[in-house]
Amino acid sequence: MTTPIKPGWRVLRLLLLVMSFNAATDTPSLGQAAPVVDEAQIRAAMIFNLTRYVEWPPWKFNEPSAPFVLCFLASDAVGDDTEALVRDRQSRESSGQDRKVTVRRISSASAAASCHVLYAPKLDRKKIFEAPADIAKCAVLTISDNPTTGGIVISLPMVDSRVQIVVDLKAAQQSGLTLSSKLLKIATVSR
Amino acid sequence: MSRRFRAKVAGAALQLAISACVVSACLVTAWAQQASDLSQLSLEDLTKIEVSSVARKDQQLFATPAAVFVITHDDIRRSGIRSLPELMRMVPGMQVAQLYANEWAVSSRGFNGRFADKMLVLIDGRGIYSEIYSGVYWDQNDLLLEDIDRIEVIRGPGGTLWGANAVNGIINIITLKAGDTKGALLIGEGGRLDEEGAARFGGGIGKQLKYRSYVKFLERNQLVTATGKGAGDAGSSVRVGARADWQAHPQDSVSFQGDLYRGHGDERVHVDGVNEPTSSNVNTEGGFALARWDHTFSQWDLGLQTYYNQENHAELSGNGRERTLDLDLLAHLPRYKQNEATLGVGYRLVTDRIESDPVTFNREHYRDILYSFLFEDDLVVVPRRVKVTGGFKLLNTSYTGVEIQPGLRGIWTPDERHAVWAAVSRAVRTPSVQERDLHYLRPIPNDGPILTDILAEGNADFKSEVVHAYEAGYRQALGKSLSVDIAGFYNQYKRLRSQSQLQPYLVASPTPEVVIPIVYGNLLEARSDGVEAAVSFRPVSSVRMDAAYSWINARRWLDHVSSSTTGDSWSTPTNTLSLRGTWEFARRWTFYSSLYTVTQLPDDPVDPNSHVGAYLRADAHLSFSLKENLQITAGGENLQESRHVELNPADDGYSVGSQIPRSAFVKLLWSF
Repeated sequence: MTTPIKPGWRVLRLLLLVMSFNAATDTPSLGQAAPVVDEAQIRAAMIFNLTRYVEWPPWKFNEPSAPFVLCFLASDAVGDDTEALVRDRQSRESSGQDRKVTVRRISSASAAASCHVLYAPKLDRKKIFEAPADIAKCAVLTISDNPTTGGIVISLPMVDSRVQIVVDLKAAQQSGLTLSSKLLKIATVSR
Repeated sequence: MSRRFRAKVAGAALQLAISACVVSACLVTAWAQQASDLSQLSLEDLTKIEVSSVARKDQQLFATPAAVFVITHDDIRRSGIRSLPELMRMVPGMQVAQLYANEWAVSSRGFNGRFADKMLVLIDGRGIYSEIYSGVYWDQNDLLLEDIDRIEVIRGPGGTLWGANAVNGIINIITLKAGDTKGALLIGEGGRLDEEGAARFGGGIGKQLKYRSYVKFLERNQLVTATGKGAGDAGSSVRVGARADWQAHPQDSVSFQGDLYRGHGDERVHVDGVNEPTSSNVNTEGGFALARWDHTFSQWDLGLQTYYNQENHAELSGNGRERTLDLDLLAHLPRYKQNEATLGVGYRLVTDRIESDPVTFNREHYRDILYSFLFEDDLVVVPRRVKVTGGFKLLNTSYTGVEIQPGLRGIWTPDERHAVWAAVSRAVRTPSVQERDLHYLRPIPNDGPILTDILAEGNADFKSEVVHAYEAGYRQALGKSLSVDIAGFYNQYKRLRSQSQLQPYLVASPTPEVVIPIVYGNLLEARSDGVEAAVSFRPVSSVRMDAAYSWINARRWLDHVSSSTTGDSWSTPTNTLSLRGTWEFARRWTFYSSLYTVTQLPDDPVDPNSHVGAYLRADAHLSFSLKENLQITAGGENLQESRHVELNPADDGYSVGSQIPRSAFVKLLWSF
């Protein structure tokens, strides 16, 4: 059926010779351990940073000192990491610089009207629309991690091992929030 | 810290891998503050950070209610190991023994031997367990190890999710995505045991399509006999392959891959009960093509995979060809209340053609059609604390009819650092062609007036072998640097393969002969229990230490027809210990060392004179990076003894077996 094969060492040697003249400058290193970065931590940092690119209507803050409320539907690692991040930030930074940030865990969207940001992981994101009051009219920045936005303002899906930002323009317009043009430049816009 | 971190992100924008080694050192200690440091990055930079699939997998694995162990890409790179079976020595509870230069016995939880048939092996979802032979041809699956992303090894039954023949475990090999193998890589290796030359090139067309292709030449040099002479078991192989990954949309990814290979290897075997070994020339060739599509819907996701695989295997006087066409659909359904369900259907067509003499089979062509259906539900009893997984897989094969493989698993994670799990499951091993249809008339040399033959025959009623497994385990992460994973099991096997001698009879023509029929049956039962432990210790970022230990007690054979029944021998040592350590003692230097030791193998019931004693193998090597893209590794293997034997050669009544000599190697890796 087959004859014994002698591997083509000669071919390989030729290949080596040809390639040795071809050493490029931006050489990838040899399989060194990649740094361990966690998906949830990136999303947490993104949620935290996204707030700088979004403007809420003034009525959303009852008083000048009213806290900024980050809400998490269901408990998952993104919520934990955001909470840790907020705690760490507040312990390091002198108070009074920014508006105080509070993290709130909610189990149903009925408590979401007062939130500035509402994050729900992909499996729970349908719950966002279960809110009795139309969440779209409450100026809530809804965020999920699903590849498609489907009525949620911002989605943070994983594409090619990187967390990407997708903005749903229609949902953003209905939400009463103002998204900065800079954000729209970084994000993929779905219409 | 934050400056270093910014350096990392700048690197990410260019090429994350370049700065990876500098940054990874600080990342270990700074884990706790990482999220907050990440928040100081711009949104744009955040979208460029590559998420480590290892971290993602680690979290999932910690909460997996099964005895699972993962060999990562970095573990493979550090180890300097150059074959898949040798990698398995890292896994607790896994027994690995080399028999010839090209041949290994690999199994977990007992039943090890050359013809070990209770481990299912998958490469990117493609089964490489041969249905003709009921086992894995390791020599025909010599991948480019540098392409492997990780190997997930699950000890214990996995029939519910994975299908038939996952009785004692599953080895699930996952290769890197094409996007992770950019640029060129050249490998040259030479040593006492093997010589390897390989080249790989990866690139992309646009942002969405990534590809790679590779070629690998491998020579395995002959091992030695008990007297230290050449064992005549050298072999070689050549393999080419390619893969393309296309991210059509954020919701759709498509992957294609294919390989072609040819190889040959010699081995010395006993044929027809003759004492002098004969040289058998094993020639193999084959290939596969695989396509996969993953789609994420708004509420659920779907994976569709199909592959075609062909294997030709010729040895001694037999030729076998196996063709497999497989189609699998797996869906993770929308969450309903606290349930996350998985639904799968599968179709597989296997056609075999066997031509051989004097061993013959009742048919030349086989056609086995397999349908499968699986349902599994993850029920979250207490969010993030208690989860119960229950499911079953239904199989319908042309030969054995309907089989059911149910499983029930539960895990309790009181906090992020502890996990306790338990499982009960049933799995089957489906019969091989040999067990059903063998026909082998073997003359027994004697001086009497009448010829005597042994007639070994398959059994058309051969049933699937069955295991009922009870398992439990405990995991603990003691800080970031130490983790412990312990699992225990109790397995009950039923309907195991037996060979029974029936009443001899006389054949009058053409010449008078006495025929002693020996027939396969399902008359054996066995019990086994054992404990496996893995400890991983990273005191500082430059030092890693891993230990794997297993104790297995598995000798209680129960046979229903006492004196005339034999079964598999059980080449599984009671104690197996493996230790490995890596020390990056200078910026460009790494030292790696490993020890693998077993206590003596149980004596063979067929041949009590054969004896495989305890052995210790010690490997060590040094790696030096001349530049960031050029690495040279040199070291030795089996340093402790001049040679040793790892498997009982009389185990299967066929193999002669070789001994493993002390050896040295040099390996060069160059990427650009």
